[in-house]
This record gives sequence, C-alpha cells and structure tokens, in this order.
Amino acid sequence: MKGCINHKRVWFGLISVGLLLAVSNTGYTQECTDCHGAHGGLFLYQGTDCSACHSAHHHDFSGSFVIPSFHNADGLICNKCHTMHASEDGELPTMPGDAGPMLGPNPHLLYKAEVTDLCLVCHAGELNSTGAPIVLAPDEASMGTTHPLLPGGDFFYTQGAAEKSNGHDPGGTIIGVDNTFTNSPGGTFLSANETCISCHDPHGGSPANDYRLLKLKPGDWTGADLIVVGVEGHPGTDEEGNPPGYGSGFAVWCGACHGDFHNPTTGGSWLKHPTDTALGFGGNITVPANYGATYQWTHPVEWPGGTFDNLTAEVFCLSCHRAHATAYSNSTRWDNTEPSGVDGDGDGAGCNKCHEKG
Amino acid sequence: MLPTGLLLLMSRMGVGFTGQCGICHGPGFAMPTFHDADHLICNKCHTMHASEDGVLPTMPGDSDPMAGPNPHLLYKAEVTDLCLVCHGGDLNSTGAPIVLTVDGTMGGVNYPRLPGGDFYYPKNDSHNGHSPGGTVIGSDSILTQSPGGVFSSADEICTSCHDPHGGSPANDYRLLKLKPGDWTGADLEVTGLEAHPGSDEGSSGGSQPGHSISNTIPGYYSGFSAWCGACHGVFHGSELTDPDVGNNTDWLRHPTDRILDTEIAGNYSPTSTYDWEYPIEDVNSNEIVDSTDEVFCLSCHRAHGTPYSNSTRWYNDAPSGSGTGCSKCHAKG
Repeated sequence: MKGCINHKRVWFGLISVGLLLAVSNTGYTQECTDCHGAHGGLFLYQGTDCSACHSAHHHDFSGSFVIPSFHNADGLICNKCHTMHASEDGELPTMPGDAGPMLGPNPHLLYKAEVTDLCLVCHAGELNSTGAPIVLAPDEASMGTTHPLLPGGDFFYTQGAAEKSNGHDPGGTIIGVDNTFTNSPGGTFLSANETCISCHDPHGGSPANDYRLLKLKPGDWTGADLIVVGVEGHPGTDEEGNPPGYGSGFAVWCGACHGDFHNPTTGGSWLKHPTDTALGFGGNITVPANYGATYQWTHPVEWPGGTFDNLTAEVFCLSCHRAHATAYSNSTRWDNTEPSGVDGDGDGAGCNKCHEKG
Repeated sequence: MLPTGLLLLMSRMGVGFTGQCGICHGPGFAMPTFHDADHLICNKCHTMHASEDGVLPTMPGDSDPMAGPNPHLLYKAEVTDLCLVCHGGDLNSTGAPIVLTVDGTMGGVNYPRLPGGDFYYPKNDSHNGHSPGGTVIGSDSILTQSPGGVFSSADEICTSCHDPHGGSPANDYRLLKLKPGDWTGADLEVTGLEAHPGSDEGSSGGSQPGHSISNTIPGYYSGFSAWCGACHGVFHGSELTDPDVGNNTDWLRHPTDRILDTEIAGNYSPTSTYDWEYPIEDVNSNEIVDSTDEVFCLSCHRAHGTPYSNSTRWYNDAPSGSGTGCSKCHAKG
C-alpha cells in the first residue's frame, strides 16, 4: 500500500478482514496486528515502510506479498534504468537517484556505461538510504551491531583496490574486476564478464528465480534452469531471527560457475569439502550433534524438507561463505586464519560449529 | 445511404457532396479540399488590404475582427494563432481536424482520439510535446532547439511541419512539408493511409462508402522516421555506422526506422494484428504486423502533444504492464 492511509478505511478494512477470515478457507493464520498497529495506521513492519518493496496487499490473503516490487516483472518502470534517447530537456539526463547527469549514451540504453555501476546507484550507500537492499556500504561500521549484517555480505571488502580475494568482483568503476582470478575458482566463467547481472536478473519474471532474482542460468550456464527455493529475509536485516532463508537448490546454483568444488570423492573419502550434502550423510551423527538441534543463522544450512532437522539439513556453499564479499579471504563467514574456538554462546564457532576439533 | 457505385458515378460527373462529407471531400474525393492546391480560397486566411466595409475585417470562423495588418497579409500576426481559428476547439465544431481541444479531452466515445495528439498538453507544459508558438499555445519554455537537432524553438510554428497550400511543396499525407523545419536536403517524402479527421489512427466510419480504413490497418507506410529526423536527426541512424546511435554492436539510443525482429514482432502481436495505439510502419503495406515492419518515432510518441512528458503515448513513469507501453514489444519479466 502506498501513500496516506485513511483511518476510516483502515477500520473498515480491519472489520472486513475479520469477516473474511471467518469465512475464508485459506487457512491463513497471521494476525492483522502482526503488521498493522492495534488502532489501524500505517502498514509498518519493524518501523519499515513495506511499500518500498512490496506491492499489492491482499486483505483477503488470497495472494502473497509480491516481492520485490521494483524489479518485479509487472512492476518494472523502464525509465528508472534506461533512457531512450539519452536526452531530456535538451541535455543528458540524470538517472533517478543518481547525483549527476549521465556522461553519454550507453549500450542497452542504460544510464551508465557499466551495468554494475548502474545497480549501485540504488544498491550502495547507507542502509535504508535508498529504499533498496544495500550491497555496498560506505564503511566497515555498516557490518556492526548498529547496522545489521547484509545477508549477502558487503562489496566494501572487494571494492576498488581492496582485497579482491575477499569475494566477488562484479566489475564497473566502483568495485572493479577481479585482479586475482581470470576465471571463477572451480570453473571457467571469465572474471572479466562478471557483473551484477551475471547472477541476478533485474527484470524478474520467468528468466529469474523469485529469490533475490537469482538467474535461472547464471554466469555462462547453458544447462537446465537452476531453481532455488528460499524464504526472503527483510532488507536491512541479517539472517538472524528470520525464518531460515535457504530451502534448496543453492549449492547447485553456485556450482554453475564453481562446479569443480562439488563433492568429488575417492575411495569413500572427500577430496573437497562436501556441499549440498546432509549433515547426517553416511550415518554421521557427530556433525549433526555438534551443530545442535536448533538452526543457527551464522551457519546457514539448507532445509530441503521445509523444517529444520539436523540430520537432513544440508551443508552448502553459504554455510561457510557469503555470496558477495566479507572481511575475510575467500569470502568466508569467519576469519579462517584464526583458531575457530567457540562463539559467545559457547557453541562452536567457525569450523568448530560442525567439527568441534580440539 | 447512397450505394458506393452511385456515389462514384456522381463524383465522376462532378457532382459535389453536401453535408459532412463535403467539408473535406470534393468532386473525385479530393482530400483535403480546404488546403488542396487546386481548391485554395485565399481570402479564408489572407486579407489583401486589411479593410472590409471600412473597418478591419474578421477572419472567417473567427469571433472578432483582426487587430491590424499582419505579415504575409494574414488575418493574424502569429501563423499558429491563425491555424487555430479552425483547428482549435471542440471536435467537429469547425469542420476542420482539431489539434487543440479546450480541455484536453483525448478519448472517450464522444471524442475519438486525435491522431497527432492534443496541443492542450504542451500548451500547459512544454515537456509534453511540440510548442508551435503564437499567443494561444506559445513557444517552448524549456528547449532552445529541437532535441537531437538544431532547429530553433523560437522558429517553430505550424507551418514548420505543414504546408497550408498543399501541392508540390507538400506530401499529400497531412500536408507534411517535403522540407520541414530548416531542412535543406533532398525532399522527405512520406506515404501513409489517411484516417478520418476527428478519429484515432484507425477508427473510421467503416460502414461509409469508400471508408475502408479500420483501426486494425496500419496508416503509416514509409518515410516518417526520416521526416522526423530532419529536426531530430541525432536520434536516428544505424548502430553500425552512427556513433550517436550505436557502438557497432549495441544500440546506444532506441532504434527507429528499423525492422522488428521475429521476437519483437511476436511480442507485439502473436497473431500479427496491428494495434493502432502502437503504430508501426507497414513497409510492404501488407496490413499485418510482421518482421518486415518497422518501429519508428510514432510507435512511442505522438506528433503534437500528449498528457505525458516527451509526448509519449503512455505514462513512462509507471510500470509497463504486460503488453502495454514498452512491454508491447519488449515483454520483460
């Protein structure tokens, strides 16, 4: 919902919702006050205006919240990223949200010569400053306690001359290309071709998964569509406290470009760390017990069955890495040059979350 | 209603038409008769001495006498003001095609859309179309020259594009000049199928004799992109040879005067049906939309003005829903 809220309408809506719930057979059990205040009012979730991302709000709960509305197939506004003639009022136009006019006509009629630079007009900056999920924060403080962790990580750590081995380098003039690898580790996708849209589809719809618009054919993948199933966390929040986001398909998706790392074995022994593999694979009870009975967002696992079970939950790429970049080499979730030890709750940290060695 | 054959016999006999048809049609279905080279009545627009019955005369169709002698012996000091005596007002009120309505009424059952658009909108906001000067519409308050060109906005009047005298300096199609603006190159010919005034680009009295135009038949055949390019040429060209338009492999500006590829044509209409709201140039005049047809300026713009910035046919700051706006051809998502 957008714009001002008419309180009379809200009350009418709430009463109507109550009647609808009484007669609906959808089985939806969410309470109105999960999202609305007790006396109506703005649709706020934890102080955030949901309309920045969500489109139609179905009061009869007949449909889910469409996410995200900006890059949603039906919500696309072409001229937010494209300009037909690179001319407005007789001058080069300024991309909505940008600070200054474009420099000249660009391929694909984009406001920027580099795709990644265009994405970062909205997806970089202080958290909640642009209305879009931030993937490049201005400083390391954005990863601390006052700025919840960005789920995918922070391109701050691979930006410019920063450590390029700390994550992906989707090119452009702000982040830059990878100066370490000529192609993807464990694969053949050229680093020079890596941009935001190697992984994400900005147009939504059928070429993309709903989950963070991950492409069905990322990189130079030409095989069958790679479908991922996940539950979206809210922008500006980390994975903590939210329903675990990763259902299935993520390991295979990463394998489109990093396939050599996926489960080579010899003589029953792993040659490389398993991925897309149940914690209890092969009758292993140690790893599941070490992980514990409850999901830990700091060490994600895939939940193929939809509910957490430490035997069937699967280790996957993002159990140990973040997708974009981190403060640590190889985009790991912890400093892998330091002892793993234990975390503040006494659980295993780093590798010891699952392995509890020493 | 007279049978078509009888009507044609009457026309060949030189029998004129009365009633509404005669406003535009003359013997032999000459169209349009008012501005036709062979049927010009000079004193409808010009006054030789600015004097009639001892006082300043009133232009036919106008409400008040002229203010004084004017250049070119016109009834009005401003060319555009003169044109609007007949071409401005309520639809069908003057007998001439209306290009400036009193209230921006562009649609609805009673007011079929004006093919070129409505100057009502750029009259109120220069972003929304051409501003052909005069005291009624005014000049462009934003641009000093044509976007993508050098034609001075201060020089823009109705007769920058249209020739009121018809004949050899003009195309038959809406009397578009062979050399619009300040064009000095070769004649810019356009060919098209005229829709009836007061209707949108297709809708016509389909049941009337001789009126075979329907809104599923394309009205634009060829030459329109190059014609617009006389003043907006930077936006025009090949992605292979024009660095303002392409970098040899990618388009830098939206293509115009370029054939639809199979995918685009399929997105436009899986059944190859023309949609008058999204014109294309029907290059081979086969009356269907296929990959031999071309996107051109009027695919996305209207010539005069619209409610939307840059005289686009739709509101471009809103999502292009399935099959509308940009998604008519591009079907993203």
